[in-house]
Amino acid sequence: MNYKKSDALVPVSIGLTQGLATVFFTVVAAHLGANPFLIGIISSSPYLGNLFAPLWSSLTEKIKINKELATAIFLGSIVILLLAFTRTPLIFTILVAIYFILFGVWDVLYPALVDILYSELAVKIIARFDELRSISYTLIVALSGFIMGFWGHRTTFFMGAAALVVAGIFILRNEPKGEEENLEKTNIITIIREDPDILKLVSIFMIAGTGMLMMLPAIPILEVNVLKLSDAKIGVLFAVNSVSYILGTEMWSRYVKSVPRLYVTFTIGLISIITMALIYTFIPNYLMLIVANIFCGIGESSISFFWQTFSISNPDYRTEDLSSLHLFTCGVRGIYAPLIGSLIITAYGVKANFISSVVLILFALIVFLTTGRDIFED
Amino acid sequence: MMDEVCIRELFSHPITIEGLESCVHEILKKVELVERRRKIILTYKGRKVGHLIERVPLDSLKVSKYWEGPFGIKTELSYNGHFAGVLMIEK
Repeated sequence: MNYKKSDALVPVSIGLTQGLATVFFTVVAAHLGANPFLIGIISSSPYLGNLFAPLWSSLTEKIKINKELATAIFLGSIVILLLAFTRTPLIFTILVAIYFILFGVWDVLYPALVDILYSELAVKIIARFDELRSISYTLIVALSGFIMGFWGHRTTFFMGAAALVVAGIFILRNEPKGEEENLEKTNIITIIREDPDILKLVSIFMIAGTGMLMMLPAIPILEVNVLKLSDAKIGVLFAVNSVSYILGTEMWSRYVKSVPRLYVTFTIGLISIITMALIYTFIPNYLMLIVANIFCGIGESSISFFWQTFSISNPDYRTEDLSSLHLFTCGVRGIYAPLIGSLIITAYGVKANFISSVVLILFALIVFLTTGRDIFED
Repeated sequence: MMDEVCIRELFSHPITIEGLESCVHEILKKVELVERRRKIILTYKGRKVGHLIERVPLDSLKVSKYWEGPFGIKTELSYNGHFAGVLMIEK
C-alpha cells in the first residue's frame, strides 16, 4: 500500500500513548483513592470528546487541519505530564476530562487529514493505520504494567507524553495540499426518523451499549480495590483483551460471507460480553479474569464488526453518516452509562453493577433475536 | 445477486478506481430509477442496490470513495465534485 512510512509513525505513537498512559487512567485513579463517582467520570471522559467534535470541525475553517490536530496533541501531552504529578483524585479526574476533550480532535480530524493526503486510497490507509495503532498499543500495554510496577505510573506517563509529541511533530510535517472534501452532512436524527430498521438497530445498540459501558467503573474498582491486582497483572489483562479483539476481527472477516452469519457474529458478541460480566461477578480470580478478557475482546470485535459491515453495506446512506450516527450514540451512552454504573456501585456494590449490566445486555439480545433479524432485508 | 462480467473481472484483480468506475457505469446502464421519499432509488433486477439524491446524468458520475465489505463493494458517487449517491456492487 502506497503511504509514506513516516506517516505510519503517527498511529504507532498514538497506540503507544494509549498503552502507556490513557488506558491506565481509571487504574491510577483507583490507586489514588478515587471514589466510584470520580472513576465513573473518568470512564465517561473518552466520550466527552465526541461532544466537542463540531467545535474541532468548525475550527478547521480558521486553522490548517494539521496545525489544529498537532496543537491539540501537544496540549494533550502537557496534560499527561501534569497527570503524572497529580496526587489528588479530583484534580486527576478534571485533568483526564481535559485530556479527552483535547484528544477528541484525533477521532474527528485525523481521518479527515488522511483523506486529504491520500484521497481515494484514504479508506484503506485509515484501516491499515488503525491496525498499526492496535498492534503498538497491544505490544506496549503488556509491558507498561511491568514498568509501572517497577518505576511507578509517572515513568509510563512521561513515555506516553513523549510518544504524543512524536505524533504531533509528524502531523505538523504533513502540510495538506489538497482541498478537504465538501461533505454535505446528513442530519443523523433524520436517518433515525426516516428509517425504522436503523432506529431498531440503534435502540438495540443503545440498550446493549448501556449495559457494557455501565461496567467500566466496576472493572478497575474490582481489580485494584477488591482483588488488589498489581499493575503488571492489569497490563496483561489489557493486552489479552486487545489481542483477542484483533484476532476476533480477523476471524469475523473470514467467517462472515452472508447476512445470517453476520447475525450469528452479533449474537456471539453479546453472549461473550455477558459471559465476561458473569465471570467478573461470580469467579473473579486472576486466571478467570484472563478468560473474561478473551470473551470481552471477542465481544467488542463482533459488535464493532457488525456496525462496520452494516455501514459499508447499506445502500441508503453514506458510510460517514452511519459512522457518525454510531459515534454520536456511543458518545451519548458513554457519558451517562458509566455514571449510572458508579451510582449502582455506591448504592449496592460492584456485583450489583455487573448483574444490572448482564440484565440489560440479555434484554438487548432477546430484542435482537426476536425482532432484529430483518435489518438487512429490503 | 449481480451477474455481470465486469464484476467477475473486478473481483479477480486488485481493485483500481478506473476498473471500479467502468464497472459502476456498466451497472448503472442496467439499473432502474424509482423515485421514493425525496430520493431516487436504484434497483437492479427488482432489488435495491443504491440511491441518488437527485437526478443527474448517470454517465457523468464518478466514484469518490469505496469500501470493500463481506457482501461486495459500496461505492460513493459524486457529480461535479459533490456527493450524488451510493451504488452497491454485490459479489
